Amino acid sequence: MTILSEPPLAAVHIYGEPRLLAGVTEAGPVDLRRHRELHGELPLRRRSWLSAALTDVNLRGRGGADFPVAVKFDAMPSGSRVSILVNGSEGEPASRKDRVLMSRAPHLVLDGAVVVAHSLGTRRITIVVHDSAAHDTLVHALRERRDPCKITITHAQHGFVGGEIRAVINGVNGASPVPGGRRVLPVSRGVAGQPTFASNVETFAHIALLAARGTAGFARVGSTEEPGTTLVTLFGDVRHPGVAEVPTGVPLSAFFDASGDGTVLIGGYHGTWVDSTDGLVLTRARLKSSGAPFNAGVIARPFGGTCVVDEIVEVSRWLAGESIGQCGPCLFGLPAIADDLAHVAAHGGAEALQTLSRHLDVVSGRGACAHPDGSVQFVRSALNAYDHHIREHALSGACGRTPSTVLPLPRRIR
Amino acid sequence: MSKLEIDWTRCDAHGLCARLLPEKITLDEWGFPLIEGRGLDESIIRDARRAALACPALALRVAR
Amino acid sequence: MTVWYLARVTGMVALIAFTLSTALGAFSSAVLGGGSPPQLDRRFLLQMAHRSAAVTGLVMLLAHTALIVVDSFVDVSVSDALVPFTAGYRPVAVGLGSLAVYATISVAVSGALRGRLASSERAVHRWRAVHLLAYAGWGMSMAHGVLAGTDTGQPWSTAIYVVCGIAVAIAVSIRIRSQLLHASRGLGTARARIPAPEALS
Repeated sequence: MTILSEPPLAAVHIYGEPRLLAGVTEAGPVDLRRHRELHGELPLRRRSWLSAALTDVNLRGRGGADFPVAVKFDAMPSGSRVSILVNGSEGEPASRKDRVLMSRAPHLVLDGAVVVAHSLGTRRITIVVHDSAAHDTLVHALRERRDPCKITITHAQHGFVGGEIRAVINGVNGASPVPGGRRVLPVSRGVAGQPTFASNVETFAHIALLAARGTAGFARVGSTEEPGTTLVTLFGDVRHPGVAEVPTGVPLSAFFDASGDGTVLIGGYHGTWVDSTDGLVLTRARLKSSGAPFNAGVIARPFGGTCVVDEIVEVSRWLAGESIGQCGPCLFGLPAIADDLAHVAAHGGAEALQTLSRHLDVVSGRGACAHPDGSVQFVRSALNAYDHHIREHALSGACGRTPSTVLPLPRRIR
Repeated sequence: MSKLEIDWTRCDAHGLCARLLPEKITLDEWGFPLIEGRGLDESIIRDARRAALACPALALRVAR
Repeated sequence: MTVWYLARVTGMVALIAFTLSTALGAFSSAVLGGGSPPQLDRRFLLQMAHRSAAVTGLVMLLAHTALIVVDSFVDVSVSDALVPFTAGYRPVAVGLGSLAVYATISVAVSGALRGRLASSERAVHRWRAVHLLAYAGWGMSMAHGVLAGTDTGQPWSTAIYVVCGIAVAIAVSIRIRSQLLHASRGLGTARARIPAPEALS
C-alpha cells in the first residue's frame, strides 16, 4: 500500500460567480453559520422533485466517469437499507479539487449527502476521505450540525486505483479495497451489500446547490447543455494554478495566456494530451466528443520550451506502480510500457517506438478496471501530441531542453 | 450471440484456454489470453464451453 | 455369499477409484513447469482422468452401499446406512462410511456444477471449500475400510490401503509445495513463469 505525502492545500481561484466556493476565504472553512447565511436552510426535497431537477439540469458526475446523476438516482430503490456513499478519496494524484472542496466548504458536501439520503428515505451516509485536512474539517463540521442521519466518516489510504468506486465500497465493507472481477454497479449492491448511491464529493455539493436554488436558479450560470459550475485543478503554464471554480461552457483558452506551446494535458493521468486547445470548450460532453474527456478535471500545461518526455516517463512508471496486481495485462503490461517509453526517450530508435506501440495495443481493453486503459490513453495521446519531439528523442537521444516539472506525483514515504 | 468473457482477477495465465480454443484465443507475451473478435460461432460453442471448464482458475466464461 | 463378496469388492474398487481421483485432483492443481503445448495437453488429460475416476468411484460406491444394505451377512438397514453411527454392526466404522458417502456426494455435485459457478464472483470460493471435502471423504473412507472391512489384516488388503495412502500423500505434498512456492498471492502461476518487473517503488 502506498502512503502518500500530502501536498499543501492548493491556491483557489474563482472565475465568475462563486457557488461551490462561495464564502471561501484564506481564514479557513466556511462554518455552519456562514454556510446557512450563504445557502439558506437545509434544502430537503422529495424524491420526485430531485429526480426531475437532476434531469432538467443534466447534472453529470464529477468523479471522472461523467455518469448522468439523474440516471443513477432513478435506478436507486428507496428505503432505510439503502446507503449513500460520498467518495472523497480523490485517487487521481494530480487532482486537488475534492480536498479543497471538503476543506473549505464541508457543509455544502454534507448538505448534499443529507438531501439525497432524505429523498431516498434512508439515514445511512458514509463519507470516504483520504486527505487528512479534509477529513478533520469534515469531522469538525459534522459536530456543528444535527442531521437526522447516521453519518460515518472514514479516513482511508488508497492508491489511484483504490479510489475507484467499487474498490472504495469493498474497502468500506471490510474487504480488500480493490475492484472485483465482475462489474457490479453500486446501485445494485454496494455498502453492506445494499443498493448504494455513490458519487463524488463535488457531485453532492452540486446537488445541495440544486436543491437550494431550484432548477432555474441553478441553471442561470454555465452552458445550456450542462448548466452550473465545475471545479478544475490547473498546473503549469496557466493563469491561475491551483483549484478553480468555473462556469461550464467556457473555452479552455480562458485558462491560458496566449503565449507558449499549445500542448495541454486534459483529464489527468488517465487523460489526453492535445496539441491545441483551439475550439475546446469546458463541458464534459464537448470534451468527450473532441476526444479529450475531462475525467476528474485536471488540466496541465507545460511551459513553452521545456521537454516533457522525462516527466511523462515518470508518470507512466508511477501508473505502473499503482497497479493493484490483480490482472496480468496490467501488472505486466504497464511496467513494460514504462520501460519502452524510457527506452524511446533515451535514444531507443524506431524499434523502441514499435515495441511501445505494440504493448499499448496489447494492454488496452483488458483488465478488471479502467486503470490499464486510462494509462494507455495517457501514453498514446502523448505519442500523438508530441510525435515530432518523441521521435527526436528516439532517433537522436536527449533534446537538451530544460526538463518540465509541471506534473505532480505523490511521493511515497513508505 | 454468445461471447467469451474473462474474469481478469482470476486469470493466472495457465494457458489451457488457448490450447483448447485456438480459433478464438491466443496468448500474449506474458501468457494471458487475447480474444479474437466479439461473438462466438455456434460451431465452436461446445469447444468454448470445454475450454471454460478446463480453466483451472475458472476465469473463462461463455456468456449470453 | 456372492452378495457379500460383491459388497467388499465394490467397496475396495470404490476406494481405489476415489484415491486415484483425489490424487489426480491434488496433482493437477499444482503448478508444475511451464505452459508448453504438451504440458497443457497433459494437464487437460489429467482433468479428464480425475473426472472419470470420480465417476467410476461413484458408481462403485452406490453399488457398495446398496449391497451392504441388501446383504444378510451384516445387519445394516437402510436407516442404519443413512443415519451415521446407528448400525447394529460396527456402528463407528459403518457411520464413518455413511459420512464418507455424504462428503463424496457433495464433492461430486460441486464438481458437476463447476462450470455453472463461473458466473458468480463469490461462488468460486464456496465451490472450493465444498470440493475440498474430497480429502475428508477419502480419509473417512480409508478409516471405514480399515475398521469395517472383514478383510483387514489380509496382506492384499493392507497393501491396497498402504498404496492408496502413499499415493494421496505424495499428491498432496506436491500440491502443498506448489502452493507455498507460487500461489501465495494472486497471479501465482504468471509470476512464477515471468521474471518480475523491476521494482518501481
